[in-house]
Amino acid sequence: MASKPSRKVELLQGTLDLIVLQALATMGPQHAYGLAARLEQVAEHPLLLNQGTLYPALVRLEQKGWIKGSWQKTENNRDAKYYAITKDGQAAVATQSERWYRLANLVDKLFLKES
Amino acid sequence: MARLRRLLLRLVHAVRPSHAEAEVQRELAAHLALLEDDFQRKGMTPSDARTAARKTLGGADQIRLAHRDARAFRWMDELRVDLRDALRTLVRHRRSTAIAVLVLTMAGAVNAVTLGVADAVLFRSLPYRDPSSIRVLQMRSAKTGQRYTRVPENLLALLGTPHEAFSAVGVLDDGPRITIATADGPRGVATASATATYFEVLGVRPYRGRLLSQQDVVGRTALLSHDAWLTYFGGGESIVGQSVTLGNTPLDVAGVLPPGLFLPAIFGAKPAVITLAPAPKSTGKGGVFYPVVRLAHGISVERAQAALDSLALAGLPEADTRDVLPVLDPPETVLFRAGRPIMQALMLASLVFLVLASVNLASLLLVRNRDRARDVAVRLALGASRTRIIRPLFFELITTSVAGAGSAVLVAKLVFPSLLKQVPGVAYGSAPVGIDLRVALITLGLGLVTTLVFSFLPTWHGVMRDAQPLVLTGAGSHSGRGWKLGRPLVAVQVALTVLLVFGATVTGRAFVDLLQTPLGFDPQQVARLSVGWAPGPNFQEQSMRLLTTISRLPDVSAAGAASQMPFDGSAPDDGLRGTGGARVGIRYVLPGFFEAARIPIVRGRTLTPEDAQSDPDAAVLSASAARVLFGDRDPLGGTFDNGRGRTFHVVGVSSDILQGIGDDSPAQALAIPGRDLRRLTLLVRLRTNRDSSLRSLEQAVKSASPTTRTTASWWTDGIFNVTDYRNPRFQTTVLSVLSAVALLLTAFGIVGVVGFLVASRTRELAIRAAIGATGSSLIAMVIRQGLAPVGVGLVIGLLATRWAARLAEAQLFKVDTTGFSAIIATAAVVLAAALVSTYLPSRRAGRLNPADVLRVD
Repeated sequence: MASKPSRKVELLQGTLDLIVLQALATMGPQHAYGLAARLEQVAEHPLLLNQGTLYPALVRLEQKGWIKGSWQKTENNRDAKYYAITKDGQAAVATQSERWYRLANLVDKLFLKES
Repeated sequence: MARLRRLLLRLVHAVRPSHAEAEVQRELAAHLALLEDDFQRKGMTPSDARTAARKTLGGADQIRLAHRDARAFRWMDELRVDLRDALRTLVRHRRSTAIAVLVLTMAGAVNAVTLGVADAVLFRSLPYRDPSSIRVLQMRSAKTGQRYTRVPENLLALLGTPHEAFSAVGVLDDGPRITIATADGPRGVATASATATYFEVLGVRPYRGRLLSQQDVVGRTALLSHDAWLTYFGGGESIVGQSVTLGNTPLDVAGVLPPGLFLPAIFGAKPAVITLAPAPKSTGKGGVFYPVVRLAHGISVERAQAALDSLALAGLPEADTRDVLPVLDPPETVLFRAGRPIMQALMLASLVFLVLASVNLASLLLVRNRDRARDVAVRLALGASRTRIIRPLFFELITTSVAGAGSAVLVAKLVFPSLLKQVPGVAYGSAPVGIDLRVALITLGLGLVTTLVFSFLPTWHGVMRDAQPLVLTGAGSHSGRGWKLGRPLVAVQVALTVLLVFGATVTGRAFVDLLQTPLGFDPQQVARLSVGWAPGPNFQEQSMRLLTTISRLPDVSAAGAASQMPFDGSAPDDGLRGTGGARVGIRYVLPGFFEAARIPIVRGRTLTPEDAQSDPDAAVLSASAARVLFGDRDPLGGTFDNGRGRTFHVVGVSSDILQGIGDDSPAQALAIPGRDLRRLTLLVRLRTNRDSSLRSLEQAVKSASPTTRTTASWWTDGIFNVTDYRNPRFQTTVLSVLSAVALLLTAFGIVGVVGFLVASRTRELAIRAAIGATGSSLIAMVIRQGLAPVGVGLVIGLLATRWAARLAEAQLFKVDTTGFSAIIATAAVVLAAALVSTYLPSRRAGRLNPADVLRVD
């Protein structure tokens, strides 16, 4: 029995960290909800299974020292933990995105040849 | 760098999770609040907005788990929880935990102490380079296989020339003791002499300076032991290469030997000073003791032995090789000749004890885990993996085991010095013994392995076997299954105990036989005085005067003296060959010796003080000596000579006097020494066995001869401390203590398991009581069922004693394991202990009130 095709995008393993890092690099400090909303907006359809999936990526990046979290007030005076990219994080974006482009390019070429 | 940082943070979070957990909770709550605000702004009611927010965020528990996995290590987290649970269980059951730790401490300490000695004797490699290439040369009798330590000097000379099978040959010889003055009085320092090649064979490197060389001065150039260097020269660096004087002996110190070195020889294994010895000569007629050879590279022991045989046959006179041929033995056979079998047997006994303790622990856990099956069943039904279930149980045992083994090492370390005093020196020779890190780690490892194999596996098996039917059927009772597991545990404990009790019985019986061996003299209530005066021309007269003074003392019933005492291990002063080549030893005694030692005179008369004056060549023969020298002829009035110009005439015949246990040719001639007297021990028979008598004896000698130093001791102390007695006594004591504790442990094990049987079958027993079974019939039923595995264990154990008997005969001192008396005694002791320990818990079955039990159910 064929299952109904999912509208959600399946992420390649490890790409979520790069996506979050890149988003923070372009958007500036952001809380998890803001990040999730922004990613859904960019992807034009639900990117993730649910917004909670972001948290493991955030803790991974924070432990690597690429982002740093701090509690602040939102515009609506709510408490939220804002994540900002660090210097190491900015350097990591450069190296990680280059690696990503190389990989994507390779996959692209392979697909072109196959088709 | 980023990865390392993350790894460290994950480890920190795994150990201290509480802060991060609160943080993520707060963050999720904030996230939900933001989502709710947003949904409400889009027109949802607060309640719809809350539902939608939760849906969008996802399950909070899953997020928290995913967050925990990312920030820490889940397995470490689970490990921490399981460990905490295990510790809580141990604290909750603190009484059974304490018993378990005590049992393991006991077994572990026995193991550690045994290993403290056995490690040096059995396992540790010798302190030489490539010890497997070193062999000690001895002579072997072609007929009996017996080893002789004296090797002809000319054979050594043959080996000293370059040879394809041997790369080097070295000789060590005993040296004279150097007397030095210390604050505590004069002290003898052991010396030896070695050829320049000796340390080359052993592959020993000098600790300071250099080793001996051929160009050095024989008897003068010397190596110091590490201890001697520290004790007599304060570890001074400048001593090396200098000429010094130790006592009155001048030495040129070439170097210092490494610490802890001991040499493959019985005498002089740890000499303080080793001087250069001359190389063996091919014309030499003498002999050397314990020469060592190093096999050439790539030469097997068999090839080297064959080369040695042909060398001896070709190079030695035929007379020298007719009875004996040289043999290459591993250094251990010289270093630990008696020690290896003793330690192997004791190591085996302590391992049996350790396994017994672990099985005992399993039966203890069986009782403690009675309620665990239900908990495990619930967790299995909820989908918990076997690993999650196994881990708390595993940790409980590991923690108990580590606590037991750890305290065992501490106990062993504390008691080792005093226990070592009981171990006969022959068991470990000169090897360094003690509880070091290596022994501690092996004890810990052995404790863990035996606990895991013999406690954890059966306990786990039992818990799972009880839990699975509960999962499948939901049945509430699991009464019979625990008992099924308890039965083999009891059987194994009984079998192991039978082995230990059997060992104790046969060694104990052999020791009692040994104590009852007729010695030919009576050492009870006899004081032995070693007199410290220098022999001179009037030595005999002086001694006789002293004996006369002593014999007049009120406490003294007889006083005599001898140059050598039975059981002191010394060779006779003189000797001669009788008919058929049998040897008769001549020992010198002063009149009064026979009376003091209570040696019966069977014919003729004893030696008297008058003999010393007017008949100095009078002699008394032992019954064996009379047979050897005179056959069927009457020995009284007969004569014999010592081959050096002195002719004795026989005035009496005494009963045989044993010179040591196993002495099968006690042929002795006892004669007055005259000028041949070189040393003397006084024997004084006292009317009391009070120690104060010894002191007054010493005082009497001192007032009779003020310049004489003397110490008095009981003759029995000296005799029963010789290896012949110490060895069996030590083995008997160890095995008796082990088997007594094993009996106690097994009894506890049976009490626990049978108690478990009664507790888990209370309902069934109550029904039986309700339909008319009497209390005594219920007790009988429980005892019957309890004794069934005891019977199985008894049979297995008794069968195993046949194997143990072979081992005991091969490894222990002379024990007789044939005959059924030892087996019957063993079975009776174990069965009696089992009966009592089955009866005690079974009494509960007889006291059951069915109404109470069934009402509760």
